[in-house]
Amino acid sequence: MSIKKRTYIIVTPVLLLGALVLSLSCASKQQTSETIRPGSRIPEYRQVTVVAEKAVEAALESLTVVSTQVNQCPPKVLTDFAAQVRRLQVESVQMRARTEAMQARGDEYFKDWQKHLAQVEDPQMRALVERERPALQQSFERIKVLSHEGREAFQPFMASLRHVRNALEKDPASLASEPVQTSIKTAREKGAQVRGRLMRTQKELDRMSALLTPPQRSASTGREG
Amino acid sequence: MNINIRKYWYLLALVLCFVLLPLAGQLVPVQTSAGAQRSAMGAVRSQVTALKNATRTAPNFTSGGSGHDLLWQQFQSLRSAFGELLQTLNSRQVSDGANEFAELNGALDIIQEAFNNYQNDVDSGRSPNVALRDLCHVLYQASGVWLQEFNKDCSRLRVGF
Repeated sequence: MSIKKRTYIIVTPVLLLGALVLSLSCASKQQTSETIRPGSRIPEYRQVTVVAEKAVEAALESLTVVSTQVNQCPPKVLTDFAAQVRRLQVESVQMRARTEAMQARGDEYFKDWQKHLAQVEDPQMRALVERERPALQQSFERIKVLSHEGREAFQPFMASLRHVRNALEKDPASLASEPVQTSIKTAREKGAQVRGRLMRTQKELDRMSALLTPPQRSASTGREG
Repeated sequence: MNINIRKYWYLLALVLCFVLLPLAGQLVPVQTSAGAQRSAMGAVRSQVTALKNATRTAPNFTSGGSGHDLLWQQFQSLRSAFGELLQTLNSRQVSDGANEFAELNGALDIIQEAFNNYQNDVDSGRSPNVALRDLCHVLYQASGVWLQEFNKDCSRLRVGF
């Protein structure tokens, strides 16, 4: 047998084994999780509540314009109102989805959140998360209650807005009718409740952010407490 | 004789390598499912595009009901595609992304409520065409928001890597 053939016979299995080892090492590299920024979901969550709150505010303002019309609702006012109702439906999706997940997963939701926070590499931050765990849990419990209350108020708020819109689309002169006036009143009350819960959720999230801010940084930015 | 024995050794080594290579893949779920995850993610994105396209064509249907049915089918296909993606996740992604996937699923439930709203509006006397235009608008916008969140979560959890 020639030297070339022998080399081929020896080298081929070695190369294949090499490929095997390489594939294993590449796979294990892919398993490493990325570094998770401490509290990274808090600003994101806050942003989602701000977007939803603005949409609620805009819908309520539009409802006020509708309710101040005399006798019947002009087409332009009704079109604007219908657009705000649609906007609210879309811009509340993320907020409502978070609420649903929080209610469905219960304590597991917070445990996972806490787990992510505890995975940070900075030992100072890990210690901070550990030290503030009871306060963070309290804030989370308050957010869970606020979310639940907000969800309970959102359904009748949305239903009342749709009722007003549908009634006025059918008959713009029905503005003064009792059913429409009742729906306007309900929408105002429930909308104010939803907005209030969203604003309190934002404050609670700010409190959580402050808890997770290292002392020297919070002192310099004035966010302590 | 000597050459024959070497040939057998060579064949044995070759067979072992070919047997071990796929086995090694099975031991590491990320490796084997990365392709499946990419394919499942692609299916979800395509389905969002299909739903968005349906929201543009549905108002042209002469009957509001047919447009609604088309949208419903496309939306359910999106839900199926998302469900299939969840099946391809490895245990780390399932554990690390439990909240995110619960939120994405919750968002689909909420978007689906738009179909109930359509039906209730039509039942209470709203024009089917106006109600359908509203449904299309909400589905188009909401599915876009959902996709943004989906992409962000998949990237963070390294789905398909």
